[in-house]
Amino acid sequence: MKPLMREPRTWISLAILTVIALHAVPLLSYQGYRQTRWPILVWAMYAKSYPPGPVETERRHLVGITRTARRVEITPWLAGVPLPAMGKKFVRPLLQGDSTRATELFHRLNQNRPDPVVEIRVEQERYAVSDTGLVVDTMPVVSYHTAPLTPR
Amino acid sequence: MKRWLDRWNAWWFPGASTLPLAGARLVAVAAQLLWFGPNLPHHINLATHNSHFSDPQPLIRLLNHLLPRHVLFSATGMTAVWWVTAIAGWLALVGFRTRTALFIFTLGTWFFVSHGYSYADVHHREAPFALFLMALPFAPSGARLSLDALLRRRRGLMPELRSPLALWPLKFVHVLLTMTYLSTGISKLLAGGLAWMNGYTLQNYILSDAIERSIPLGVWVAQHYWLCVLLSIGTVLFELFYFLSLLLPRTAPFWFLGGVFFHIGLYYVAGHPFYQFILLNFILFLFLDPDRIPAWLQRLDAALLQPDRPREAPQPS
Repeated sequence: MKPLMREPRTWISLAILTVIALHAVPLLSYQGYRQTRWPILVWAMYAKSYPPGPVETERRHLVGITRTARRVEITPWLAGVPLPAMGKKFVRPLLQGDSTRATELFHRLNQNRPDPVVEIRVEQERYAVSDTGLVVDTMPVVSYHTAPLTPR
Repeated sequence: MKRWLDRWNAWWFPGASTLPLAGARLVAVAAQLLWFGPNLPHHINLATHNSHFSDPQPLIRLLNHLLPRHVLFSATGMTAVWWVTAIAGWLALVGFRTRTALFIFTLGTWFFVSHGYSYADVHHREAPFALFLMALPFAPSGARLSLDALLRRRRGLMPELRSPLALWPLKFVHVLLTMTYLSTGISKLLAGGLAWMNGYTLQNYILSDAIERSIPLGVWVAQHYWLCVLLSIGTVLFELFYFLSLLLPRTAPFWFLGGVFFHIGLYYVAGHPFYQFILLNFILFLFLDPDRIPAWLQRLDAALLQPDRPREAPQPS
């Protein structure tokens, strides 16, 4: 009969227990949405509740205007980040007036571009559920130019 | 102590047919190869547009520590890893050097998922599936429905029809799914309280996702308060009580099918692509109970296990 520690069942059992126990780590050391322990993650998505009140959301997208006045949709591919990271990395900081992010985005967009982007705009709409259906409001645009780099 | 060990072994390692595990291998590997597989241009774009990792995952931190960045995280490096992963995947699918191929395929899969999640973006959908793939090389996944089994038969060796290690990967992923659902359900009640089921919560979440992803069905659902109350109660109950599939095995098929439809609904209403969860619930539905293996799979297995026809004896000259 094989010694216990040589049995595959022993090693597999230890591995099972280790993986299960490791799931306590992200709970005890919470990293928020920037988790760095994949595939051992905390499973707390969409946990927050909303109180009774208006049901509304905002949609934001980044648009570039080139030197020849052409309008370019700034996609995750152009920005070089995954789609869900666009908000964290660019949209929210730009809305908060972070011009360094604008500089970085201009650099990423204009790497091999004959008609460079000279203006970045954060365009926003607000959608709200009402008794008569969905109401859409256009919100003020926040824009950055290559010079000077201040939000307008 | 011995009684607990015996119970543990009886649950995790019962002597069972290796056919369900082989079927699960076929479905999981085929899905990863043909459906979930990494988008190479996307990974090359990420690697070449970013000079560093903003939130490196453990495997990426390890590789970045061992190798200069340009070796793997370049167009050439990414392409090489992609091809090695793809070749290993096809070998794992047909079942040649199955367990080695599975291990390499899984490492490659982990590499791409970890890489994609090292730039300030992490999602949960691949995690249990990735752990399931990693369990397969450590079980007799190539004992049936494989080239390995066919070659074994040709050499006159008996196939490994039963094994105490045959069910543990399926049970492992069942436990993982139970943990994830229970964790999400409990976190909703802890963070959101019973207000999570007030209707407004789900309306807000669905509206936000549906507008962002241009999903008309989601926009419609978000405008119906009482529907969202029912859906939110259903969501919390499903997540909190999925563990009953472990304690009451006879109810398990219903929970697995419920999981399939739950995630299909999430996809069509809010655009959440939890395809791997759909697949895992489907795999458990098909293969966790050996009495419910599809008939076509049993026929395929029987055909592969058929002994060779006897050769004609050579005639004397």
